[in-house]
Amino acid sequence: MNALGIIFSDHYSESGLFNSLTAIRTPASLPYAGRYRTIDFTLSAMVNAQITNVGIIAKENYGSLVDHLGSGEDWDLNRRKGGLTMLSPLARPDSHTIAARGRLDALRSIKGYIEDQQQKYVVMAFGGAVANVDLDEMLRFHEQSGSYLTIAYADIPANKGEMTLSIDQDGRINDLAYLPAETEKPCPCSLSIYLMSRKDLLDFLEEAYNKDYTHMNRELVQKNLSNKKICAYHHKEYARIIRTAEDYFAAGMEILEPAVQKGLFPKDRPVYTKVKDSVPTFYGYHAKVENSLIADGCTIKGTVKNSILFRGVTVEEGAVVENAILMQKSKIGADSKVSYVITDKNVTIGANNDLKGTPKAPFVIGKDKEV
Amino acid sequence: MKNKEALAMLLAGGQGSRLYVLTQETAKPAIPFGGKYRIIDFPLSNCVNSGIDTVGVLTQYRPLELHSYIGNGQPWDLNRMNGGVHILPPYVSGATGEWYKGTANAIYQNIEFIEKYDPEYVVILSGDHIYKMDYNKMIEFHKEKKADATIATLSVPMEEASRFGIVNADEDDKIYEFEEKPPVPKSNRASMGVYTFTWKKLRHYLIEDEKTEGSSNDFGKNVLPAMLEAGERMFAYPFDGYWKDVGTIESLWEANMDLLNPNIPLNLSDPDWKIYARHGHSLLPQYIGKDVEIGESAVTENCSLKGCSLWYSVLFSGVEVEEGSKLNSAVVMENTKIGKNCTIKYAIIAPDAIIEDGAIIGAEPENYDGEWGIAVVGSGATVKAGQKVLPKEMIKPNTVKEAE
Repeated sequence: MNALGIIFSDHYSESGLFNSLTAIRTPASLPYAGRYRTIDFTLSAMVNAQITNVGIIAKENYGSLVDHLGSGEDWDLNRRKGGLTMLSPLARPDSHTIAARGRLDALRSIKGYIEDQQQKYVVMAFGGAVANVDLDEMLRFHEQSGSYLTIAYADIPANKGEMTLSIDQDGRINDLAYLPAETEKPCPCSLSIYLMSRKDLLDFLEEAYNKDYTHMNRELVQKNLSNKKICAYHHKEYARIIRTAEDYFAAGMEILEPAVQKGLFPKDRPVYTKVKDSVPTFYGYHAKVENSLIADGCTIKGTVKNSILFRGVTVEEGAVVENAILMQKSKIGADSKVSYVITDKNVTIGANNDLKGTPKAPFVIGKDKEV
Repeated sequence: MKNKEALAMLLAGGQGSRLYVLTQETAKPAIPFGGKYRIIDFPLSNCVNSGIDTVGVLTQYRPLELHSYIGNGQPWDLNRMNGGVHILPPYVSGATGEWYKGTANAIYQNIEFIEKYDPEYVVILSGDHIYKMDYNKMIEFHKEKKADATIATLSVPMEEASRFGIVNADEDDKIYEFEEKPPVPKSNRASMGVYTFTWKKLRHYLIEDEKTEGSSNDFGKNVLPAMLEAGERMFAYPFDGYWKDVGTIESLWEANMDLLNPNIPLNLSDPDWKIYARHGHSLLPQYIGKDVEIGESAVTENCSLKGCSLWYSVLFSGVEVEEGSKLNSAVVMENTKIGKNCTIKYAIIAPDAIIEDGAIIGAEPENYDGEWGIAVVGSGATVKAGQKVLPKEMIKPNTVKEAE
């Protein structure tokens, strides 16, 4: 599609919650499903819709993101024309703020960049949503409905504070609301994917500058609901928005379900990620493994059940790992037991430990920690 | 252009006829190995890890898959502005064209390419071996000895020496004799097929060899003996480490099994000497379902195992194994699907094969009365439900094994 892609790597103040795993990285670079990071979904959705010009707005904490994306080669975005562009807050002479107050503020700071591009449309997306959205179909919907702005949504359980949409029969958004309390019952939540014409966006950014608008949902969406046609595109497949360690754990575990795998990784819209040269995973003589998703480069000599193991994890003999998410290069020592645990990258758990969390309160062990 | 001290020429044009059905449709260096590699990843990774950033890959036999695998050389960091990987197939010059007649002729036909980089030294490699080697150390040895040619050698058990090209050298490693598969070997120093030449000397002997009538234009048979006879300084470089010629079905299977053996020094996870490969991009991690028995095995991304047992086996990406199937000492290459209640032992199954329910492939040597060997299923072949593939039997690519 003839569109410029813009990805926000942060929640901004439009969604106050954050979790301990994002204290050291952007929500867009959360490790996911054994070998991906959350931004891979958004970035791959763009690439799969032939969007070959993508700007990433990084606000803070983006070391791991820059490391992950590199030149964009692994998403086929190392292009002479377009390709991947990192837009940090101070990237341009016309960047006017050090830390953008909201997504709209961040867009204002790259107005010059947006002007310089050629594409007819702009797709703006939050890189932390876990969803594989068909953007081609979203564009068809946008053109058919003749709307000014289209926002993708999914019917999903959501946290307190999540933005829900009230939508009429024709798909037009009547109102926005922020959930007063957590809900298990699926409700129409914004996936923070916005599609509009680049010209309309530039006109709005001009207005936003004059009136000092800073927030996408408040000013671009809410203020325009009555005078412009703003529609909601229904993403029917699996989607999750991750805010807390508990969300992360629940969504992380759901990936073991075949239906979820199918929804997130459809054959015709593959999810690309950074290529690493890991060796195959080796299973030792006493290894016992059940219902687990295991990345390459692991060494498994103990027991692993109902768990997600990222690349390069070691589980020593006699260790028992159950209902756990072990990120890259975690080590579980001999005869240790871990259940309902998330270990961040490079965590080492020595021998003979017993670590337990609960489904509602998984035990999170921070990056590089030793237990 | 700045000249290169050393460049490597990788002979990748051979058919590998002793791999039979595995190389029926692709060149030997493109054969998958060890769960996520191809044979050619080893010399290419060795080059880049040794600091050699200019590699000519000479292709001839069924090069399509090899060419697309190498591509621009990016997975090996060989997409360079000055140098990098170059694919060198035979070409037509003027009215006549010529296939590569032998290993030496292949280099001879690419003198122009080598001259472009004006190297001091040329390292000649082949795409037949699994090993990790620092070619730079060999070049240093070559310089130290003020050699004209250096041949990498490996000490093999004396009783096996008659299977190899043997290099006889004095205490100073100076070569005085070559023996090709001698019935009674004088030493156990086997040539690894890895040579370093001072380019000016090699150039001279390649041109001379080309003029020699009746020459088979081969390094081992013609060029090296000619250099020795002329009294050039030739040395045997002692290599110490894992090295395996994977030119036969048995040795290819063994090398895969070696990977599972912690006592064999072929550590692929050494961060200082990575073996790079072109990876599939969009693959989910491997999924191990319920009631899976797994041990002493290597499994790769996107595999899916359900209710099966897997011992001493290597599974490449995208392999699926269903309930009740038993695998032992099996090498199963990418995207092969194995149905329910199959038994696969001592076998190599090439990519994209379909093994239907209840098929029996291969057997343990101790439980088999006939002439035993590794059972092989070619790429894209189908073994129908309940069919047997006997030890040493080979199913041709894209054929169907069914009841007669």
